[in-house]
Amino acid sequence: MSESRGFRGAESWLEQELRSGLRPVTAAPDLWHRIQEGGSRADRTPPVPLSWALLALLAVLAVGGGVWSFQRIAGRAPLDLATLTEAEINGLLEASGELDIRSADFFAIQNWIRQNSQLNLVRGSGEAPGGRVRILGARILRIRGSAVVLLAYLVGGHQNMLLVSGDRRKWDTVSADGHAFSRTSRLISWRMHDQNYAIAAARMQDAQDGCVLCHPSAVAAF
Amino acid sequence: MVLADTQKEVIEGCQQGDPDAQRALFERHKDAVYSIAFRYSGNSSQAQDLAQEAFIKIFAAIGTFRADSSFESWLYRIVVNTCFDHHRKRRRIIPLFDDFLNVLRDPRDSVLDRMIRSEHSSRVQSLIKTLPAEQRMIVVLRYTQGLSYEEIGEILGLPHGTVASRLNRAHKALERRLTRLMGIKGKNV
Repeated sequence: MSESRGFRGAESWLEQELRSGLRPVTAAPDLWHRIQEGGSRADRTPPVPLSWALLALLAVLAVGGGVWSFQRIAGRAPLDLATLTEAEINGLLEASGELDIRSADFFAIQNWIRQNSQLNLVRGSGEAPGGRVRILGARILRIRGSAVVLLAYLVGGHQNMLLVSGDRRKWDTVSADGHAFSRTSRLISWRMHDQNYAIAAARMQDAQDGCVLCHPSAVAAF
Repeated sequence: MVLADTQKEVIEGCQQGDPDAQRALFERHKDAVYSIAFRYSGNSSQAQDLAQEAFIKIFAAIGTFRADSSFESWLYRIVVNTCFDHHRKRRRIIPLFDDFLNVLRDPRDSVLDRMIRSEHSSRVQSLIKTLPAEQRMIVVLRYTQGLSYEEIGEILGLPHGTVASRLNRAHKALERRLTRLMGIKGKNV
């Protein structure tokens, strides 16, 4: 390789940011075993006879047709917030985090959501979030073309998230407006102002704590 | 020269199918290969798949490597092409499911723990994902591997000037988005 590696002279703030944010990482310890398994599988693979190739082609066409049909069905089928939120709890923002906006200011996030989606993040009371609440930021997910807002926050140091969606056709879980709640162990969902809401907590015992985002002086009782 | 000689021996060992030489080559380059895959894809499970596939291709093709060129460039070219192939396949096959794949992530660690821990890294990483594939790879090679324009050009088969102009375009896009995200008014922060 050439000696003229990278960064000559003074770096701009952007270059520093990129170099820090994209720094090298360490490979997973099991990578070698995966390569061994993958390599030996490839070594063992015998030449493919024509009849097998034709069968494989037919199978691919059949699977492709199935996937195409599933996509059509999936595009129409309702998917409730509870399902999505459970998936979110089970491991949304991996190492690459992915909040679109990071701010502790609820109103700044509310404005940003208005500007970037058709959704309005409405809180049930006009009270400011209480002292136990620390807002981290928000993200807009695009699921089947519909926007879903995720607000991430901590309550007493524990993790919570609020999800909001507006597309009734695709997300409908409760038919009428108002606080019609449905709960699972770690999830509370309701419909309000023509939008679907759900609060999820990382720990089962924290589910109701999430309500203090909007009701800082009230104890949630359902 | 000791290092260069050792690398030469390792490569020759790999060309003869020596498992110890393959392991030595893997140990020397695993972090670089994985880092490119991870920074390009932004996803650790995809990066594992990409690194695995790249190393299998490297060991399969190492017999074609000629010692008169740079081994690193040859190796990086395989990693880069593996990433591009994967990107093309994903774009072609069922893009609808990408949103769901992005939602259903690795459940080993809790959500916001990781978010807080990797706040800085993730901010840049998420912006990188918005760049076109080739620009993104140029940024990764430049900032993850610290390669020069000439080295990047050799790997991607592009003239030095093209690398510079594409990197410049990526800088402008990232600067705009990062500035907005961080709420920075001026550049000297």
